[in-house]
Amino acid sequence: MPSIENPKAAPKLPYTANFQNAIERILSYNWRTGMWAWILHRASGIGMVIYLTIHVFGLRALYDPVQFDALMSTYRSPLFKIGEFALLAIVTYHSINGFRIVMVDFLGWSPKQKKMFYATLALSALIILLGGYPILAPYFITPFIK
Amino acid sequence: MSDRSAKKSGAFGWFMQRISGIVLLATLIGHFWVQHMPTDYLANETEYLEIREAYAAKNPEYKKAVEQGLISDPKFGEHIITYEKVTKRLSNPLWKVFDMLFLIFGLYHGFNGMLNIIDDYAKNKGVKLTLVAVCWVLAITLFVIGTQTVLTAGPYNPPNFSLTELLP
Repeated sequence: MPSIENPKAAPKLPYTANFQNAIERILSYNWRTGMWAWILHRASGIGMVIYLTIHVFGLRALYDPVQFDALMSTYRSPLFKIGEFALLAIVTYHSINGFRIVMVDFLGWSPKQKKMFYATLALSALIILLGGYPILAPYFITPFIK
Repeated sequence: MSDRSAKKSGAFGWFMQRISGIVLLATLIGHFWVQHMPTDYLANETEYLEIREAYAAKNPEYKKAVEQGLISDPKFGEHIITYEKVTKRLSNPLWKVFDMLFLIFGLYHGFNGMLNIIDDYAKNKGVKLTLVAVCWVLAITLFVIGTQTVLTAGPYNPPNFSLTELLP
């Protein structure tokens, strides 16, 4: 048993740490719902920190109307609109799954956590569709209906 | 067990990650509503064309950018973020407070999460120290830049801190 007082007394890893073993290890994981919830949460979190960094630096353009409106025009291209939609998807999943984590931690909803993960996915999908429509419609839907 | 204070165990970071997450959930909904949804905080097609015309009339650089196609035409049914609308919203101090809260809690939550991830994977002491330092420098830089953007947004022209201006 690894001791809490002395973490160094924990047993050595049963395998050598290298790339191939790491991959085999990951593939041997039991990929159940909780694992997916965790890895998606982590990946979306890293993605948002990268986005936040670019976003805050980009907003320096708010100095100047010409620069700012030109930057916004760049963002109004089909490629960036897909990016905006992807951002919505990432943010929505991370916030609703984060809310699930808070409920599990603070209100002791752990027995329901698996069901709550499916509810998280359903609610995320609904919000992504509803919120994504006004973002994508002027570029990908309305021009083809008219 | 006596030396396992809350700070050492990481309980404070764990707790604050949840608290900041709840604050972010509230501010995120507001931010998304005003910046991405078709509300009055964005310009619709007609407003956009009016704003563009008014700015082009009083600012020759703006006119040039419109003529070059850098400030492009609106699409049917599109709602657009413009300088005019954003600075108008930020002329309300309450929106400045809102954006500052979003910035501070967003940076705290994001970089606290990054520190947790580094703690999980970086076993080498030197690598870990480097990554943690990068996180801190980046977070503080973003805080300074973001604060300046939010507080000075609007008709006020902030001082230029670029080296080329300061050096003779």
